[in-house]
Amino acid sequence: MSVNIAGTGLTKISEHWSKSIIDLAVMSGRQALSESDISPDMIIIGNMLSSYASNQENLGSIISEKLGLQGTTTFKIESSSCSGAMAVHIANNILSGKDRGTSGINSILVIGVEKMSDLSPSQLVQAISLGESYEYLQFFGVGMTSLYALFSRLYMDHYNISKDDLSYFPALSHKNSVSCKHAQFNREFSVESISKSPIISSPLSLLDCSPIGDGSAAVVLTALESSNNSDSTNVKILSSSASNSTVNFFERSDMLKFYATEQCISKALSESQIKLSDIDLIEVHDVVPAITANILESLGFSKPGKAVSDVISGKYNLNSRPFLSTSGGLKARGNPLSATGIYQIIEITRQLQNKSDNNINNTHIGLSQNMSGIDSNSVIHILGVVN
Amino acid sequence: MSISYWRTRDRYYRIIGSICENCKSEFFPPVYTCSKCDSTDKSKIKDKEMPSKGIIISYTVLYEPMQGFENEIPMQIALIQLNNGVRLVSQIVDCKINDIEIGKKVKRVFRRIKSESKSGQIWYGYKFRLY
Repeated sequence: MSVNIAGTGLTKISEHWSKSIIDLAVMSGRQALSESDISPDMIIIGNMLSSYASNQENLGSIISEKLGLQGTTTFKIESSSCSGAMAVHIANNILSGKDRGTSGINSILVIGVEKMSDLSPSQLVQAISLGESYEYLQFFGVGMTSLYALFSRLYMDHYNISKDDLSYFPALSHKNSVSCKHAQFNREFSVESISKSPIISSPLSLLDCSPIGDGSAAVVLTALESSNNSDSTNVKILSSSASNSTVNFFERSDMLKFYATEQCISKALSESQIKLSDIDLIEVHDVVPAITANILESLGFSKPGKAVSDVISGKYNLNSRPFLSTSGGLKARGNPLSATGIYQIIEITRQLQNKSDNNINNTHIGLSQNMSGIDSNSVIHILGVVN
Repeated sequence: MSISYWRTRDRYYRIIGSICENCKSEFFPPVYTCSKCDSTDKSKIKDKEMPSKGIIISYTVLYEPMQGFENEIPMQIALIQLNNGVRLVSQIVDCKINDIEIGKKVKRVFRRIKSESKSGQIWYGYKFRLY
């Protein structure tokens, strides 16, 4: 059974001082419902920080009620920063499952939401680290940024890559986000200004790291053959796969190997019967440059150690397939953790429908990769246009 | 918080991890099953104190502290490979920022990690310094 994306909705990623986590989720949910004109049988919320940042749980019931939806099945999915893509993965499994016919579940609204700006700077450092071991890392003051930094130095040393060269990835993201209305940043930065920005955790500078922001993104998925959005190109989920690895990257025999992402892409390509060369555009978990590079290599778009020279030579810009992060990725569009995976899926959907703010003509297949920690959990979706 | 600290005090004071008596692989943090030989015999997993010495294999100097570590900034943090091959992340103390390099030898020291408040409980644990 194939699953279609029948509606999309999102908020601008920003510091939404006047909006709560519920306000944000309702905004994106309403848009997606209105675009699809479908009444969902199930509502799944992807979220990581509601307990910590908003003192709120039971998001499924609360958000569904505010959307005017009662009598449905609703719950929250949490898997750190890939909660959004994981929620879509679970929804896709339910809709494409063999026993769907008896379950009565034909359409699911999936909302990813994260409210981060209510937290103080030091609370935020802890918040983004909650997916890592409390007992053996957070307790000692070691957070996500430090782990990204330790990984980045290993990557740079292993492949002899400079900090300046890694800055080409953030520069590309910011260039692509200029025309994206819902992006947190609509401005370009030079490679030099990124590399010379203040150090947060050496070798990482402020402009290497994806920013903190509030946001919500939602999709309506349906297994019904004809969706109601007849004026839009029909976008279908060709494959949805998830895989995990050790939570600590430094416990892996090869510390630069993203085992989860490698397994995931292998499953995704086999399920969809798609070749890498068929893929027109990609969204990856580009949270800091060395992670971006290692993901592109794990997916097979670049050879090991060559993603940086590839981006410098223009392989991933808007004149060359596969197009990378066409609305700025995590770095420039923004990274409201659990909403991010759904922003990625919406960017690909809208590109395939020729509705993206940064539209590229003639795209047919796109891939999104969302992950938690340093490849502790990875989720990949391949989307395609159905003619 | 106090109870969870009491529960892990040996792990924090002496870096107590695990050894698989089946294949002799060592682990820190402690494990429930052996990922090296896939031994499912729980009785083969025993507590084991990790070596106190190792080398730095990656490092960072952190300027954005987590709550409770504001006084430690700039905080030197390293990925350390202990002499038995087990890797862990720890703060490096008693050295200047420029002294940290990949390949340098480090050894375990017992230090204050943080405190609950000015008059509250103080938590101790492992850190490392160059030798």
